[in-house]
Amino acid sequence: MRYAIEAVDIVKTFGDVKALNQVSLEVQEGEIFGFLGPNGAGKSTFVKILLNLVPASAGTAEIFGRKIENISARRNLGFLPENIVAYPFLTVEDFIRFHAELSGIPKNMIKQEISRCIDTLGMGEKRNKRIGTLSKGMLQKVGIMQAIIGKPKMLFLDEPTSGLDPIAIKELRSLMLDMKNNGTTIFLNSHLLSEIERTCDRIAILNKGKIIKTGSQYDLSVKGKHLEVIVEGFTDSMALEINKICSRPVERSGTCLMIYPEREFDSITVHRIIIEQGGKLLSLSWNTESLEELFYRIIKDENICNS
Amino acid sequence: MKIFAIAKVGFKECLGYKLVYFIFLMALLFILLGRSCSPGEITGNDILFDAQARQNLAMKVAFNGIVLWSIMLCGLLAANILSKELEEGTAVITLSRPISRALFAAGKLLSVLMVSVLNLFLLGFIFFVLFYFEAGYVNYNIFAGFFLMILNMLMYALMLLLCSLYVPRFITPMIGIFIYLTSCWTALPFYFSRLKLLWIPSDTITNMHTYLPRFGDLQLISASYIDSAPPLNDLTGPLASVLFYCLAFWFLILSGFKKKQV
Repeated sequence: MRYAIEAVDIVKTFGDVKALNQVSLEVQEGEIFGFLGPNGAGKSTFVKILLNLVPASAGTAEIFGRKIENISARRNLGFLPENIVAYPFLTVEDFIRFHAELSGIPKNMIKQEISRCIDTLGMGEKRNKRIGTLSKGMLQKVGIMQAIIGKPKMLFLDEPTSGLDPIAIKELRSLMLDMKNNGTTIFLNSHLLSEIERTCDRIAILNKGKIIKTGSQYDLSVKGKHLEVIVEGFTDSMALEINKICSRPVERSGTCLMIYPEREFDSITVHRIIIEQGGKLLSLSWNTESLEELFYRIIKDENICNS
Repeated sequence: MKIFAIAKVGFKECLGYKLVYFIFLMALLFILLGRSCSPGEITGNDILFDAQARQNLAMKVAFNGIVLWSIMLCGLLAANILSKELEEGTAVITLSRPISRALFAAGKLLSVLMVSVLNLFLLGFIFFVLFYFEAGYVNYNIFAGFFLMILNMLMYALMLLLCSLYVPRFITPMIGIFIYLTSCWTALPFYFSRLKLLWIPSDTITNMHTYLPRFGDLQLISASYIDSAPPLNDLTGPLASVLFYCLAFWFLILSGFKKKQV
């Protein structure tokens, strides 16, 4: 199977600091892949390596089967950096034209493509404005326009919602889904977990330069699936009994317990233990983690393990 | 062509610098002042300078002035054109496109040359017109000299583009002008036959003249077009130096730029 992105053991060091430590990743064609991680985890560095903007210290990577060092790997590719810096003296149209020319779009198609991008982002009024006069949100839209010019097969978006208002965020979300439906693979770096939750097919979590989890959100959150139990008369011996069938210790907040049984049918066992230990069960329900909870849990666990 | 797309943006960027207009105005001022100074009388007999030589001397002074201003402009632009992109981050999106770094650097270099050559020829043309009104005749040779100076500009722009990858960009033009003027100075005893009678260059001067990029040689040869086209022999050495240094600078720019993190 040919992957849209295939990275093997990517290492990047800056002096003594290891920004990326043997990062391996496969992104399938046509999916939206979310790349999560706390600040300084190495997400942007990884994207820059894939775009050959920063050389890797070790490891190899391919985009659509082409080595990233080859210019051909960057054909049919769009990129929106985290903080877009564009030539302030160019007008919006000139800037998009410049990128259309560099992308190798045929000359007779350029005008049409520029109009399509401008219409998609609703920037018709700003078409002839100089970039230097635009607000941060507008500049971000210009960045998105240059990224989608030529209908790229692969799109790298680094914090794409930065500076956008809620309406523009919603439009961007539907744009991403439209592009995905048309076969574009999207690699999304974002701190906005809710955005990733809504759009991504699969995610990878990067922490301190290492990928610690990869999979669909469902796969990852199954492990965080837990029982929320409200009980009266909770005792330490009850906790000891319950912990025997759990992957992690019971968490308690007043009368509310968070229990992480290893198997789904252990809920019956939990019920039995509470009754046997003289407790009064008021409610019991299964809950799945949101991406935010999942992310927080994984990063926290990882940091505890490391320390 | 992608290179022209990059050059076009670079050209617009260069024209956005106020410094370009400042230098142009300074050079223009120099020409206008030079015009009022140039017809000064040299009394006595015409053994050293006949009437034509006097006229040509004035022309050469103006030529060298115009060239130096243009070289200075070329250096300032070359020092900024690539390093500013890297510093400010505008190169990030551009280099994520299917273009090589060599093409990007070439496009940027082309834009610097376009502005510098435009400046040189515009000033040259103004001088040419003023000279016609002053002297009542035209000397087209001055343009041959300007054409030869394009090579000097190319070598100078490449040198400063290279420097700007490693040295802070406000220092780069100073390094450039130091090397350029040193090269001009060391070339003097080798190109003025009358000066040779008075000045036997030391080994240091000779070595500097031989091994430094021969900007001075080219400038003096270019200026000599005002009298007459110099013999081809005079051109061989400096042209070989230009070729060698241009290739060396270009190769070093590419290897340095390739390793740069954007």
